[in-house]
Amino acid sequence: MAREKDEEREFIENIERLLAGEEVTVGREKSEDYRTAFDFARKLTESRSDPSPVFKQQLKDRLLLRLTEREMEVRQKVKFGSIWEFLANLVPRSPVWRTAAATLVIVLVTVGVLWRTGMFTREAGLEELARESEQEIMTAAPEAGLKAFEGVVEEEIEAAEAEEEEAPLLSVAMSEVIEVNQTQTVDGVAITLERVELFATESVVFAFNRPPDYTMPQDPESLPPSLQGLIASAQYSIDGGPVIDTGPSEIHFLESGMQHIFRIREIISEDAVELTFIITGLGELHGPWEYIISLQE
Amino acid sequence: MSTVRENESARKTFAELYEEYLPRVYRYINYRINDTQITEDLTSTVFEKALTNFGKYSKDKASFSTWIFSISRNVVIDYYRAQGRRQTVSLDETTELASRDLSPEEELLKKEEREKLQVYLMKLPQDEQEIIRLKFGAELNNRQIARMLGLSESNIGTRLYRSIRKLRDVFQESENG
Repeated sequence: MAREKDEEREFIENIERLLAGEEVTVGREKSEDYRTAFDFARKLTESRSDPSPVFKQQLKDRLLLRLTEREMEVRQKVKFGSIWEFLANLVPRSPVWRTAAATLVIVLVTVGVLWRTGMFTREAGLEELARESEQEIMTAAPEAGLKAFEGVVEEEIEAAEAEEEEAPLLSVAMSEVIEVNQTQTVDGVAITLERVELFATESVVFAFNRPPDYTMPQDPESLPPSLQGLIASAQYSIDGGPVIDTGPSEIHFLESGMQHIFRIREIISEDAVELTFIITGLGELHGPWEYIISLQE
Repeated sequence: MSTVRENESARKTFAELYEEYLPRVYRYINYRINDTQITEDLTSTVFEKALTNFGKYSKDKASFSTWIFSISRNVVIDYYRAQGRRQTVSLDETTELASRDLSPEEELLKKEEREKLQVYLMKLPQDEQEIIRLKFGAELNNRQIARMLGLSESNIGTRLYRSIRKLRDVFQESENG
């Protein structure tokens, strides 16, 4: 048995070397079975095909072009922010000029609002509205108007910068939330699978359980003994494919109970039909709490 | 300025990963679909998806290999679903395909052998087929394969050794028979 294991390990090591491009020779002391198996592995390696240089270059050019387009989109957003910054700097720092600028902005905004409401097309009431606006302008503190103007400018710049930061060159937001709300009970322990959130590169599963005599801990760092070790573990399978462990759950302590969060660290294909999600354990309790989730609804 | 530097860095990183992974992704797909045009199309799709989602990739969560071959697997699965047929190729069909190929003789022989291997590979259980593709196509190590398939690393070693011997036997039987 140990000999077989050693042989298996050596075989795998030799394959790794073969794939790394090393010259591997198998000694005559090896069994016929081993040698022919390794020869076959060599055949598998040699029969592989490589992408043509033309395809390789064309795809690379296409991808880099796409990358450039994305970069330009981001730069456009930054430029938009810079224009506002430029406009803000146009106003001299002198209080007189700033007051005048603020007044002008308020007048322009008021005229703009009136224009949009169609007041200029109706003669009646126009004079009255103009008077009201004038009154507002006269009574409004010029400094407040300036601050409002600066606020708008700052907001625009911050928004553009935030957008630049938050929109990585290549990002994709959450694509779908599947509300599940299925409850399974095993040995009197009920766990509700609440929902699945599908992201571009992973999915997150939310489950809920309320342990007996649960009260929300005030300090998650020092949990009462009844809540210690209540980490859940789970497995999943997509369309009957391989069963994969999610690893232990992350826990959120809520007023009503404990929320367990599991991560499916793979991309679920848009065409995937069904997710089988099995909570295999909750602390020392063994499930399975099994949920079948349709991905196509 | 920082945006420019970030862009240059992202571009450089992506270009390096492209150089390293293009042949591996191509071979992995070609192991599943022995058609150059479709392999190229699907390889392009994989890298376009990778480019789109690159900002969301976190090396703390998974190695780049695991990530890109997860994309590759899904792209192939999607392709077969869209085709609405099972992933099977008969030997007659592959011979016919080969006979239509106008490449030089050596290339033709290599292609024929690859097609035969693909046909015999499909006689193995699905998980064993996938282990062979991930090993010889994607060139993943046993730990990475184990992580992708949800199996233990030692289990992958055992299955790989067994699968290669099985495939050899099927191949020899058909050659002799």
